[in-house]
Amino acid sequence: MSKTKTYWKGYSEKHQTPEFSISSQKEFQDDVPVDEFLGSDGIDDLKTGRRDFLKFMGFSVAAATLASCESPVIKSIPYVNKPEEITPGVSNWYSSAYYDGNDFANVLVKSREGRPIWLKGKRESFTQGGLIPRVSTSILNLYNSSRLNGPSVNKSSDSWSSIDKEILKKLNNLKDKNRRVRIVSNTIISPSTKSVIQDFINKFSPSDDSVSGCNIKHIEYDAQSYYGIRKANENIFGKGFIPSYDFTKAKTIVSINADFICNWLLPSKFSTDFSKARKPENGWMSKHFQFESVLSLTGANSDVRVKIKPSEEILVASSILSSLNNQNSNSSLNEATNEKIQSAVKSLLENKGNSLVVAGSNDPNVQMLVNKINYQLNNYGTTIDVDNEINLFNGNDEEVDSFQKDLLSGKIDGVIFYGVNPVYSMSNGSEISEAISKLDFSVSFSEFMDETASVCQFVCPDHNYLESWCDLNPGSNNYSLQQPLIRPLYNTRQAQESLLVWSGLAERSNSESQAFYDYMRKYWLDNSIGDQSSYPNFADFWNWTVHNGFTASTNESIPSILVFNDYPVQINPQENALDWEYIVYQKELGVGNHAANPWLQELPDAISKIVWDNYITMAPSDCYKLFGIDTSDSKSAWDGIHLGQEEKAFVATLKVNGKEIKLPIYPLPGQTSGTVGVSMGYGRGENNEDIGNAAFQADEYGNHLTNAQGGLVPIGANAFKLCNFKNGSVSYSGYGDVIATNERYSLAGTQTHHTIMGRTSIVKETTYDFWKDNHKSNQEAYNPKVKLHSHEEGGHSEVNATEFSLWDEHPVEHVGHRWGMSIDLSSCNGCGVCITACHSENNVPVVGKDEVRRSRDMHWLRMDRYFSSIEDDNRKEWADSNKVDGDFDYGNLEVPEENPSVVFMPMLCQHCNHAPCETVCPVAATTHSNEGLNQMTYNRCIGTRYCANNCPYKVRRFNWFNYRDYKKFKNFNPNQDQMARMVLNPDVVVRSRGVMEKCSFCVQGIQAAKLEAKKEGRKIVDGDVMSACGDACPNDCITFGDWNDPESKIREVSGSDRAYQALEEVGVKPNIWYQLKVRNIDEELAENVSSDESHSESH
Amino acid sequence: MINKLIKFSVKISLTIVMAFAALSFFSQDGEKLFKANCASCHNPVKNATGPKMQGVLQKWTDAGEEELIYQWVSNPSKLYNSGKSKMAKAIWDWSPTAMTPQGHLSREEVESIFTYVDNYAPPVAAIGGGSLAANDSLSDDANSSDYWWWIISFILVFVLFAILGVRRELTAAVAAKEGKEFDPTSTFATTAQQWLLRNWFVTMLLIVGVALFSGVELFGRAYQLGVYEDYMPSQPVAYSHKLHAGKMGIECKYCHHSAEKSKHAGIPSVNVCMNCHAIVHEGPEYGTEEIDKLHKASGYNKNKQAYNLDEFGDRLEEPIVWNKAHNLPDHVYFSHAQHVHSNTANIDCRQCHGPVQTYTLGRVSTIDEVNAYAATDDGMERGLIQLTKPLLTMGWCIECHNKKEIDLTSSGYYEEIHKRIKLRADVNNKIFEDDKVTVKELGGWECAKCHY
Repeated sequence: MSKTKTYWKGYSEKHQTPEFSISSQKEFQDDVPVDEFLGSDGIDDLKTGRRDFLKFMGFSVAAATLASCESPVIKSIPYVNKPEEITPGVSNWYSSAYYDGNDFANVLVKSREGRPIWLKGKRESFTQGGLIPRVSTSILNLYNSSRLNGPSVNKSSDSWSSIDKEILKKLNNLKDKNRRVRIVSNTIISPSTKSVIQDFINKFSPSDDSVSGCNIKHIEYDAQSYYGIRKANENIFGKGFIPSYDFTKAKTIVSINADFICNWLLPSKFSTDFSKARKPENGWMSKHFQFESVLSLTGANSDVRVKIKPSEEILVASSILSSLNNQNSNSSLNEATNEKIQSAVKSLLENKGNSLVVAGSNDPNVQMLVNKINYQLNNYGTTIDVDNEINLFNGNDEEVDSFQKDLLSGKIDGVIFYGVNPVYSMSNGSEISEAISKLDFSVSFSEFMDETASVCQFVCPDHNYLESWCDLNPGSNNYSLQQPLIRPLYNTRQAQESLLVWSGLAERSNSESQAFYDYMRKYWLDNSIGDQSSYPNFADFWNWTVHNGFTASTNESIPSILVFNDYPVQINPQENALDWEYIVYQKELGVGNHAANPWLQELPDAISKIVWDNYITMAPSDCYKLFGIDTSDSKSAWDGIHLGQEEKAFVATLKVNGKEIKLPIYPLPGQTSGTVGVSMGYGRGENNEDIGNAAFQADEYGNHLTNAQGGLVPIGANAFKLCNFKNGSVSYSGYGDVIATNERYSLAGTQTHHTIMGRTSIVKETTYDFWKDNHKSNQEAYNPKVKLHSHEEGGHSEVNATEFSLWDEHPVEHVGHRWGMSIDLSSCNGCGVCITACHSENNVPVVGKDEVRRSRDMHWLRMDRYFSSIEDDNRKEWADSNKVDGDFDYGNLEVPEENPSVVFMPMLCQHCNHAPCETVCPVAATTHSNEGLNQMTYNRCIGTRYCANNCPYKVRRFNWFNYRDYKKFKNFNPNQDQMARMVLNPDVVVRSRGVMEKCSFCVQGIQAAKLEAKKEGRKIVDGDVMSACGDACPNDCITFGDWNDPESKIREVSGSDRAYQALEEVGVKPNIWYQLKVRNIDEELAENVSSDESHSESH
Repeated sequence: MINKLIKFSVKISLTIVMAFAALSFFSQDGEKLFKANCASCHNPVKNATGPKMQGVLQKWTDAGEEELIYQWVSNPSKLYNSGKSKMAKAIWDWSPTAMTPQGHLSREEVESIFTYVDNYAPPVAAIGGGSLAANDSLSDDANSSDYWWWIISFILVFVLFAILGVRRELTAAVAAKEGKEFDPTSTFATTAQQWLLRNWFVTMLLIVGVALFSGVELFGRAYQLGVYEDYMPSQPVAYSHKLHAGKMGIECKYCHHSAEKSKHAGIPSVNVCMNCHAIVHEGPEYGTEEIDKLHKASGYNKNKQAYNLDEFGDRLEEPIVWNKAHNLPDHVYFSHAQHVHSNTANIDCRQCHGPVQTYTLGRVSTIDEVNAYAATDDGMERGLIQLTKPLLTMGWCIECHNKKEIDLTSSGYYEEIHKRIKLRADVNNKIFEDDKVTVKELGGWECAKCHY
């Protein structure tokens, strides 16, 4: 039985639908948009004839010539008193930290002349260089011009001093009357902030019983709750904590619906840690089982992925536990799942003490089972560190629920919201909104007039994190410092300072008031926080901590002696009243804090490759059932594939507990049949709240869409509505109804763009066992060189494809520098940080949904996602004849393409030494440098687009519009915003319309590094030069350097046994190498996988 | 008919005016030449570094040395050393500062300069004001004479057509009286058209001539686009490089201190000025006027010798808004550090900025000035290269990159490059064919070195 692995980018390619065949033949999928250039839909009605046109043109040429004779006078304003550390034109780097209640990361921020413009993860820190796209793009949030400029009372702006007076009056009034006030915040991980809040509480609600005062309580509330973990630990170990998980040590990882690479708990750290154990050169590789409903990024990176329903999470956990105990689990799980559970258990037992089981569920019962499994496997103390707690997500669902009830029943008189947006993120948001607006006293510290702030009486906008000082204690062994990178852009005040002012502990001086900074510094001194002993005095310690961005804790941690308590777990089979199960999951947009961030919105979803939208994920087969599509003839069924890009997507309504949301359907391979998934974080600004222009849908001319009431239309729908409080915790899944509608909706996806014309040798992969056996002796077995037939010297022979070339050798080898890059597909997990880092470093324009639909996305680096499935020929025959073949019924087997494996491959300009683009440029605008760079000279380019046509990798992007001032992009292109324009990198030109652009290998960085070396009179060494993508990559997948330096790392890895070049048979001699992907699957498919690969049918 | 008349007259007058304008483009412009070559040292009506120039020609003529003055201009020291001229000796004794030779000026050009200075009337309004913002004017010389040409030509053309119109009406009246047939539809245009058709050879010549003329003109003008030679914008503070860099001998990089660190040489921040001007309150030329502006900008109270502070203890500062003289397009990345740092190209500032020590305000030199300076002893000592293309154009950049040699033994960086080149015989031979290594040969002509 021969098996063939096929690679496909989407179902349309897999099934070769007619649309796909047509679109794949087209380089640029649309005609030249002449009417868009002129910007009017009424262009056909114009009476402009040819002669008039010539007249206009003649006049314009003359006018332009005359106008260009006079150049504008350019003003230049130097510093009056130049800060010592700033040299105009030179970047400064500062350590800081990002925390927004959902994500934490230690970061290094690049600042130019006082403007933060780029950031990356800080390597030596708590998160060890870890980064996720949300943090990477957070720099743009600073420059959002919808941020509030000054405080307001009942939506009319006021001065800080008068607001302070009014608030104090109210507070004192509440105090005198003995009223109840609640401070609702996200999880506070800042010790000083906690102290500030305590001071505030003490001031107005003295603990001394003799003094009357209001009853103030601080409630921590997380939009995405992890209470289940804390509750489970409380039940099992008597302490409600979250331990730290070490994915670097875990040899077997079993994750039950925990998307720890992108979203779960602390992805900025876990993603990095996970990748460290995915390099086969380590001598071992972790083996990762993922049980999940929606194909997540973590599932895509797993070795064994099992489709389960959300209700089965607990069954999987209990089944693993009972198997560990050699008990029979009489679960209702299907056979395939049980089989995979057994192999997971086998692997867990093999690596007892070095394994890790995690679950994404917020149900304490599931988490307790996971605790028991880990306990049984002796993972506590090895992969689970109970002494180093993670302090994030301290929210208590029960407390939050009773707060909600109190608020709704009018038992609360005042509320202060800090860092939370409950009107948006609570399931009963509209009721909450009504209740808040009735309160006597309500304050919001929100930076925006968001859903909650707009119903609060007082809005006292907080600084952005890049404008504020803060100390953060993300894990018990680490204190990180957040330092401001820029003076406050608006008339805002840090929330802590507001509280200090109201408590009478500080006075606001001016916009640069340092009240909280002074408080925090004193707090550190008084409480001897951090490792102060190794410094001569506190000032030294402090300065170094600010410089480093963190300090380790020296608090002698007493090893916790946890007493295991076999707390009973309730496995209540849920009432299966409805056909569908839904799950609310998190994706790139997180919990919605970044909804107005155009960089993040335009980052294609790792799996679906959809941008700017929210959708319901559904198994393709379910989708056809639901919409009544005849699947009896497989070919015609797939013709009706509706991914939303070429064909408008189906729209369905998801009804849960009387609430409903209507969204397009995305047929997602890997989705469990009978389940649907909806991402949270969308649907911000449902009532026209001003949270930023990019958060709303725009039409094809760039104007905001409006609904029947004239309000703006948010992107996607708010899935938080579907969450509910169940059995003591917030549940993100349950049963619902999915109802088909007749509506159709266009989605913008990038997965079918820039197809690679069915060429082979793009992605290569092998299995760990096979690699281990062969990498020293027989590399051809898993990394075969592409051969071509030769008839030279009288006889047929096979010669390596790379030995043929039409071109003369370009003299880059051994001369000067030769810049090269290597990308390790094994440790790349497709998170997309490289894309956002490239976007902000190179001033790549944001084009919006409509332009992406026209395949005009501008990403210089894209993340190709390949699905692959092992097909066997017998199945094909069976499918063709549509009948049972012999006595073996294929119909009962899982269809492989419905749970495909996934390969991610960052694709960027390969800087070919024999670049096909260079030879076809009629104006020599793209040329080769003797350093191996494929140079793009914008000021020479006349936009023929021949180069893009001739590029085998499809990485060249045509700049269709003046994105920086054409009105179509006014609502989302940051360059069109006075404020957001400050984020531009002054070292890279903002390209104008009509030129080609593409990855430059961050030549600005190369030039800067060369200059630095020249100034110091030394040669360039590894680490001097790094492209933005590689610098930001949390997993160190990208190696960059001077190939001509024999000691360089790139020279070493380019010759490694896993190295190959994409499409080497076309003979373009790229300067980028890929390290083929190694999976840790132990099936005997190895040789078939590597040698029989073919990329669908050729065209 | 009147409409048609007006239309045609406008067309004709435009043609004539264009011709005039083009002519004035080619004519010698004494004012421009003066500003470019003399104004850095000479004022027409008062003594500066050099003596005042108004009436100078008369003086030499009176002294019977009318011809010698042209020799003086082209090479002062030669004339002085020859001992032929009394006037030369008088000037030599008047000031120890030697006049820069102006050999590149033709006699006609020098004459036009004299015509200009002799007719020069000093402007009434004073330069600069209380504000620290610079004026927006591109240059001080408003082309007022050009405007007059335009107005006069318009009036002339209008009168001409009026007369022609009257003549036509009269002809029509005469024709009517004599009972002759007069075609009322015939206009100037039709008459001219008929004439042109009859004389087709002249027409052809005219067309070819006009086409050639405008072609050459367009080409010449296009070449001047984006060329900023001799651009000297007005500035809010009348800073004199001549005084600071020339007379005082302050090193360029003292004020433009980021030149070795950054791509920008940097317009000095006021605190750099205040290093000296906290004490120096009066200058030789403008007295306290200009230095007071610095004090105002930095919030300095010279009477109290202290800075004025606001309620929060910050200095009451007011930034100076300068007009940028050296403008590069956004898509060009030029790094000063790469060119002036002692371990990199180590090029003298004067290579690109010319003899700044003789200028007052920041100004883009002309290539002729730079070349003239390169030919002087000081210029040769500084190793300046003579180039031909206009300053701040790409041609100029790459011309220099083609000429400038790199010493491969100069630093560890280049030694490493040299080591690698030697590994490849073909490349090595090509580079060392002429026994020298230029910037170009190491990739200095590659696009992405400056454009990204």
